[in-house]
Amino acid sequence: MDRIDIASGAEAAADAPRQRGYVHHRLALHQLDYPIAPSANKLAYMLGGLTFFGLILLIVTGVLLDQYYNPNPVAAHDSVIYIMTRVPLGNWIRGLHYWASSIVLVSVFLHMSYVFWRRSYIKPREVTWWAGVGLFAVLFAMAFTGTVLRADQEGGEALEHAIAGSKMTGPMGAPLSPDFTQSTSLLSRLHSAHVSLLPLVLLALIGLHFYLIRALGLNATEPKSSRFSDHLPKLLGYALLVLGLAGALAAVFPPGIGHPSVQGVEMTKPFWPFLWIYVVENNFGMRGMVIAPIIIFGFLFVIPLVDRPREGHPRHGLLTAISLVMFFLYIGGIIYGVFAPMQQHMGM
Amino acid sequence: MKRIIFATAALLLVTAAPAYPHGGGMIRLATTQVAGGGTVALTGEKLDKSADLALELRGTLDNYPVGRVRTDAAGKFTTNLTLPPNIPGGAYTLVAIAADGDVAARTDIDIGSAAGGSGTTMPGMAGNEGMHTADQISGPHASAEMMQLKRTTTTGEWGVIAVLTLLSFAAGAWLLSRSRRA
Repeated sequence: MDRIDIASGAEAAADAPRQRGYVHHRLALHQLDYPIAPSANKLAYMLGGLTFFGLILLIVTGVLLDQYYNPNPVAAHDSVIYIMTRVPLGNWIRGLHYWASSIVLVSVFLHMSYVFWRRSYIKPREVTWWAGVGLFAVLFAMAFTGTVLRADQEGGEALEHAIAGSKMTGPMGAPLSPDFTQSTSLLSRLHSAHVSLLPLVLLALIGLHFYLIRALGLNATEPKSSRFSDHLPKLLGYALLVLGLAGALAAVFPPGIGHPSVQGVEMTKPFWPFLWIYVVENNFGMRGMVIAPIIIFGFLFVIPLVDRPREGHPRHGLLTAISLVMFFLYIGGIIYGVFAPMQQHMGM
Repeated sequence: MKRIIFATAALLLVTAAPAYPHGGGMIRLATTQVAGGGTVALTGEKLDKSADLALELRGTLDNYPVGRVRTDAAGKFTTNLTLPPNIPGGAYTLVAIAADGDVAARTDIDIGSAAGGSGTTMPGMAGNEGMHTADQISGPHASAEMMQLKRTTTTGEWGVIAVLTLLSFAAGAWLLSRSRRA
């Protein structure tokens, strides 16, 4: 029989730093001890980090949901009902996934707005900004594919819109065409995009984004008197509060599911992040669905190229005006979309 | 450190060790595609000898008990299985359940609707098989409303949800207060 060591309190205390050293050394945690600007510890600067933790929650809950989801068009809707009614904690996990996606879309929007307002995209951080714009676009694509996977009326209508959009964009839209291949359904391919292709692109862009932030630092002129290792627990603290919020929302307001989709009928509005596109469609027809995102994302892409002032000079007045108009149109479009009357878009 | 590794390995071995109390039982259907309300011949073998088994159809939306059988001294049985007439079409698993509740054998079965339709009561998506078009709807109708589902969260599940949510809030608040003090 092994000898049982009963360490005194003092010995245990002496062991603590040694054990911490063991873990620190093997995980190279000292690499996280690099200097950063104290501004990074403000909540406004943590929105990107919070988005990242939200994405981790989405990945974890997404992996769990995917164990039960069936991407066969005939069985997809049933399998979502199965998750909601028969999988232990399935309804709550699905709710976490839904609310995490909403929280991530809000936090990434606030993060981009703050970065835009501070003009953090100017030289030498253009690529950091473009990686962020790419992440924003990929998140929209993931929100869209996630909506379609429900296979309810809203999902079916979203898919019909995407198919119509794919026809307008010619060869670029071919992957969204049901005739792209006969070996598998469009729903299966969108499921594949949602769980593998888009997350891979997302992780690659996050890697690039983080690398550039680490290499170029934040857009702050103050001396780097703080440390990342001190910043991380604070960020984690906020992330856990957000996780608790998502958990509470998922329990109190679990997302529902509509009736199975019927083709050729338009009677639902899209998931809230797409309501601004819905409003554009109301006024400009189906073409607006393609043109509006091109205008928004095109503007975000070119902004570092057109806003190249000398250090300390304010942003050009015209650019500021355009930015404000687009910001309020975007927010206003979402709010108006909630109250806008139902309208048929197909064939407009 | 070695003790931790050994303990972990032992724990993994114990939890990963497969247990087959009912052996490798098999059930076979004369055909794997049957309409609701139809009958299909069913045989079973390599099952527990002289044992009572409950037969159940397990689908995505619900389970349907479809009868009981008793194996002979060789662990075999033969029977004709009649499917419920109102069972929704779709993919099901037919399972034979032993007296202790374990699944002794299973096989897949594809059930079509009793009306002799495509077997699809839940449509899929636009441009795909299973999708209903507005002008050919006779069963389900398009609706913008949410489905009224009976979502049963057990007391235990509510407990897990409450504990995890409160732990997140508490850990987050603790980390923030510690950071502020530092």
